[in-house]
Amino acid sequence: MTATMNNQPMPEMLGRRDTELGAWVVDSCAPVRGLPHTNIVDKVMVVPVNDGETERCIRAHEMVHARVSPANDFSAWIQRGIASEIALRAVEESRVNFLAQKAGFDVLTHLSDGSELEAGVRIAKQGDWASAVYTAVGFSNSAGLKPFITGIRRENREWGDALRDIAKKVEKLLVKADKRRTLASTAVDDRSGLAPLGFTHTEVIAEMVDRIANPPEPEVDEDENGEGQEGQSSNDGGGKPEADGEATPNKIGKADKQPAKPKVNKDKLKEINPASEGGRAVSWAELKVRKLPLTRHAQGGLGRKRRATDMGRNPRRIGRMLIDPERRIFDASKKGNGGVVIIDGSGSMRLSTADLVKIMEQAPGATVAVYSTDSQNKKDNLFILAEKGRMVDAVPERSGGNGVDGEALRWAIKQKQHRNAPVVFITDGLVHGINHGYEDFLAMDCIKQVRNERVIVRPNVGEGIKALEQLKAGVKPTMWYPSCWKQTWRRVQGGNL
Amino acid sequence: MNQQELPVCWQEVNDALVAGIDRLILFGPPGTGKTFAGMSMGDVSGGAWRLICTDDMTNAQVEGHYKPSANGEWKWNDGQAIKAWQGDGLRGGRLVVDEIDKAGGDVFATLLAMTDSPESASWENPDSGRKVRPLDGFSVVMTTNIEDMRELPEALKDRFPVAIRINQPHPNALLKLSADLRNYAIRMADAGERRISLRTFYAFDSLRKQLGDEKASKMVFRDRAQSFMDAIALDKVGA
Repeated sequence: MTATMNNQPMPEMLGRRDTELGAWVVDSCAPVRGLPHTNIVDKVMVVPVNDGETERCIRAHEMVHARVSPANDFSAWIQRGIASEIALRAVEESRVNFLAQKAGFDVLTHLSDGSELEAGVRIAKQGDWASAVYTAVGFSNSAGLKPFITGIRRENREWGDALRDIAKKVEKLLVKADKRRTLASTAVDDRSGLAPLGFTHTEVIAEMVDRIANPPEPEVDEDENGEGQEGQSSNDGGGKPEADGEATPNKIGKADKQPAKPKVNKDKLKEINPASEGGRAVSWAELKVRKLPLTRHAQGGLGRKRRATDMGRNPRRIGRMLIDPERRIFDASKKGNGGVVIIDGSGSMRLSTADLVKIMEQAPGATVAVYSTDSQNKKDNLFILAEKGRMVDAVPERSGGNGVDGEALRWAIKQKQHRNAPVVFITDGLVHGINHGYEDFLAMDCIKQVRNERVIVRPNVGEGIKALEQLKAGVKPTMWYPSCWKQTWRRVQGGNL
Repeated sequence: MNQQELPVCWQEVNDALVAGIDRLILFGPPGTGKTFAGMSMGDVSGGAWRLICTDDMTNAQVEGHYKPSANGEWKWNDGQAIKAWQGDGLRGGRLVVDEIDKAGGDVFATLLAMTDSPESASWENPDSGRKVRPLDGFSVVMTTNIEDMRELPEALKDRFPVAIRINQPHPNALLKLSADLRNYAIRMADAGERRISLRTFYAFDSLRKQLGDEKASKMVFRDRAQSFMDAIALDKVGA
């Protein structure tokens, strides 16, 4: 249904630097959560057009979306992998409400549809901490927060208090971001091409909200079975631990009937901070992968290796009955380790060609790559040195900069030949994009990847080779982090990495 | 105004006129200054004459007509097209034909003849019997609000091969508006059913100086006043 002219918003009046001018289609809907929406790309706005302050606040909310939210580039923000889509959307709701309030609309009194209390009760009953956090953040800076918290408190008082604190923290961060005068900017970032620039504030807060919604589990070294591995014992006999961000909801236990504790309490919340101030699109440079001619054969390799054994069902080596004193007439297959070795080839690593050759030789069957970026990122920046049992003859010249650490690590993780294939990251941890120094924001991207995928980090070639030797011997190396990463973690997440 | 700052549509008009195009159609939403451009842009040293087409318009306004004088004699008056043909007597002038899509069949046929190429165009004055031809420099700009050029007759499109859509007010026309309203006037010129013309912005601008924003918006925009004021408030969050 097309809305009547009366009360129709005028999104055409709004100026943006990242979209073209043009007429919008405005349709009407009921003032119910989920129905009003704005599509900036197709220039469509669906809003209630009746009289009333709630309807007016909803129109203002959608108009602010049309004014400041990402248009074509929303998927680009999601694909950056800095923050989850749900966190980005939740914080964006809060940013939009903040800006509507700043423009003089009383969203703190009127922007609510009456469903929030019930939503709070339902989420608390489900015991889904992550959903509760994202929803509370989405309701912050609006009249919906209070009834939502009330609903939560009916089922779980502690959660209610914690969620209120989280929402207040987000609100305070937006106030702080507004002082930088870029909160509503629709400028396009020169370096990355990302727009709108104001959304960087949403992204940095969303990244923090993700850490609150899915707090990192304490690291547990599994797999070590005591075979000379610093006396550590096995927990579960193998298998990848649950990744950060994929933790099961903090279910309220039925047995003890006690409400679950908040995953982030008040004291912990004080320690958790955004990893950047926002207002500029800090990003990795574009990864440019080059596969060099892999002319040399590398010993070892991937795939199933068959060996003789004295146990089995199918005597494939019956001839050994006579010649083998241990009568190993059966076949046992063993999978090669595979794995990926990604090497930071920046100047601070002081890598020599001999170092790279050593690593390639220690990682037979693994994919080995080195990365390094020039100041303009014009040349290829990631070189595949070895893959599928073959390796290069000569190691290429490297440009000396970092620039793509996070992207190179993401690429390396994608190269895993199987789920449990190890990834070894040889770096001093001084990661950064192009034309800026070390940033907590980007370091956190690396840290999260390392923690989620159990990447083995080593500071230099010698340590890297030791880790590879351990892997070859079937021993899982211990987790280690560069000191700059530990400092970053302390600053933005609190506690020790 | 620096030519480099012209919006694309106006730059195209400028380029066409500088290149010697003397038959031009300007189309697009009303209130963007198409007529103003026709009357003033390019070479109008021979003068400029305007015709506004309506359903009941006759050829009298195009070619001319007899009119009784004070002493009871019938006197011939040239129509706008003939005046434009003759310009200042030395050089042909500019004929600006507004709302060309609204011209009736007879008038349209006459206009086709009048805007034909100089070699084909000729007209005999019924009073003096003198043959008249367009002088050098005669040019025609037609304007229309229709968006689809296919709606115009082929014969017209053939005579006017260059058609430019004007979707923004001319920067010179915007200068008459207060600085804080200029961007809104640009954005709303081509806003479909919610379009607000430059003339409406002029009225709002003038009234608000006396009555204040709120009262002025109610007088000019009536039931859309709140939406208009809300949009301005929300746009400023990004300022």
